[in-house]
Amino acid sequence: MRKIKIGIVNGLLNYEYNYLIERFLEELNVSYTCSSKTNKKTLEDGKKFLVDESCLSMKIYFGHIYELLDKCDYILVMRCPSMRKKEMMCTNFYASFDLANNIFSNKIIELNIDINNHISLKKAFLNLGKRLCFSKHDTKRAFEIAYHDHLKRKEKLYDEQQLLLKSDKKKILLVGHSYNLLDDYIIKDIKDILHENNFEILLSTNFKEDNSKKYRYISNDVYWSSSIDILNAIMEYSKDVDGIILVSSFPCGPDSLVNEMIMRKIDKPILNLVIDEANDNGGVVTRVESFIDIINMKEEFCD
Amino acid sequence: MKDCYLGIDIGSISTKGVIIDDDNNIICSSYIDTNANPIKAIKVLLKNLKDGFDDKKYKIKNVGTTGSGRKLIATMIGAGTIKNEITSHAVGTITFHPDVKTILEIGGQDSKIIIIDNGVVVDYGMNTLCAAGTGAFLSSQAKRLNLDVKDFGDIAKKSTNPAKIAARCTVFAESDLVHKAASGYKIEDIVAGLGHSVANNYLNNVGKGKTIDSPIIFQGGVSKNSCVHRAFEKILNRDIIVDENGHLMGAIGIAIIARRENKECNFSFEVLNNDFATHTKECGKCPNNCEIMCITKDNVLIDSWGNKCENGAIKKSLN
Repeated sequence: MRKIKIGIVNGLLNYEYNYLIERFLEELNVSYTCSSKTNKKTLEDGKKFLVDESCLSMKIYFGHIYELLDKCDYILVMRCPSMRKKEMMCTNFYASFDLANNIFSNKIIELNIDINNHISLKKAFLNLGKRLCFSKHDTKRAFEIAYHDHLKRKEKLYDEQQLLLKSDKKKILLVGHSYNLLDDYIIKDIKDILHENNFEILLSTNFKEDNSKKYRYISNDVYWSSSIDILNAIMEYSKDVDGIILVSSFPCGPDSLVNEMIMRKIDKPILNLVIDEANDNGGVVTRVESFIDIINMKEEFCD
Repeated sequence: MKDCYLGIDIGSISTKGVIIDDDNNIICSSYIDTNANPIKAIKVLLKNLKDGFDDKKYKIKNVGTTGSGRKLIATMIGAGTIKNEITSHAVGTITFHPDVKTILEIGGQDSKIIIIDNGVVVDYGMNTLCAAGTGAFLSSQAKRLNLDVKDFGDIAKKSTNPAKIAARCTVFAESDLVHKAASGYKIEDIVAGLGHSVANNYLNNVGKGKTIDSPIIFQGGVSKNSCVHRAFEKILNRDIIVDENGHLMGAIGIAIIARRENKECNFSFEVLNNDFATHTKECGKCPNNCEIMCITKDNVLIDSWGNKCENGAIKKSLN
């Protein structure tokens, strides 16, 4: 019997969980292939399958799925209605699986995480193992090893960021969802300008998860888990950085509310960048450059 | 021989150039239309500046460029300083009006608001994809009404009852305008209404959530249009200053920045005799398919940009 090959998508929440998924499949000895880095074609392909009003990140996600169609037997798509108790995820994370399943039927298998309906991360992976016809024992072992590595990797990234905090250079905190901050197609221009101007870059995706509920300083009523993570990261880093750049994809609903609250409550220079489908990056460049000038001029004036 | 500095602000609609001396006095200036051809515009501009410039008395020490075409023009004429238009406008304005708190700026394609506290820029806003309520909108409406946009101020003065024109989007504003004209509104009321719609649009768009404190300075090409100026004063119920050099402020600002940078660049008006051309090519080496801009001087490639990765780099030696 031929061995099956799983396709892993490089988009949305996968930026946070791909390492875990890859390690899990490696432990089970299942072969997999990842979609390539986001590029212009990814977006163009994705646009064909979704309505115009979908957010940029969803379009990119579907572009990645489309790319994988001929490269593997099954494509693994995450479905995440809730990642923590009594919290929600953006509806796009519910919808991504059902949409993909309808458009590319027979090709999609799900990784369904739904804490509010008692499907934990572990349970989700056990279900996936069952679907791939592995015994419960093997699946459990694979998950435990993979999860251990996943946590270790997260910790390593966090520690690396802590080192940056000690640097003498000026620091900018980039704030946004992992699929924006870790996707070069979205973020590379911004990072390049900051590096050229000798700034240290911190990412809001690297933060310490705890139950301190620091985010409540910004707002008591935040519904979305990913927004809560972002707010906790801002509370952790904002005192140590010279400026904050909020990066969100057009037209993100949760971000439009949360970013507004951040700008009202946090007393630091803040730039709100909304990335859309436009080909020309001139607008982004001008905005980031002006923002850097503001930070530099402020310092000159204080000296 | 005294040092002086050339500042060029190359916008989408108009191109502005000034030469200033060490004390920020304007030696000569020029304001022309870009006509979507920045290379040609810059040649006309430099010729105008050359005519008003005494090269026995002054020497151009550094050149700065700003505006949407800043990179292209800087490469072309060998400018030593390149800065974005927000900083340039702020620096220029603060130099002449040290106490300014808010700068309203409406140009041909974009509009900005710059908030200043104690002579330092603390915040700014800029229109996003939508060009509603900018100079381009006024020019296209002027064409529709068969008027010169320069006459708008005088025509609008006669109006007693400005027509209410939807301010949210250029397309809606246009259909509103057609409707108002068809239902018998006087031309002056429509023109005054357009001024109000630009001001309202600006305040609801880039000005949203910003605290607008006096002194307020209004600049950019549209500031020369007194009907928009009056509309702002009426809506905000405050005095708004329009500097006589407001349309040149970006160019003055970049000239001041060029002076402060204490650099020297080899600029000479000889550049007028060189033949410049640009061409774009699609890289095609990966799915990104970057559009690469190449600029040539007398048929020799001098620079290229636009590639996201090394694959698309066009080496100078290969040409």
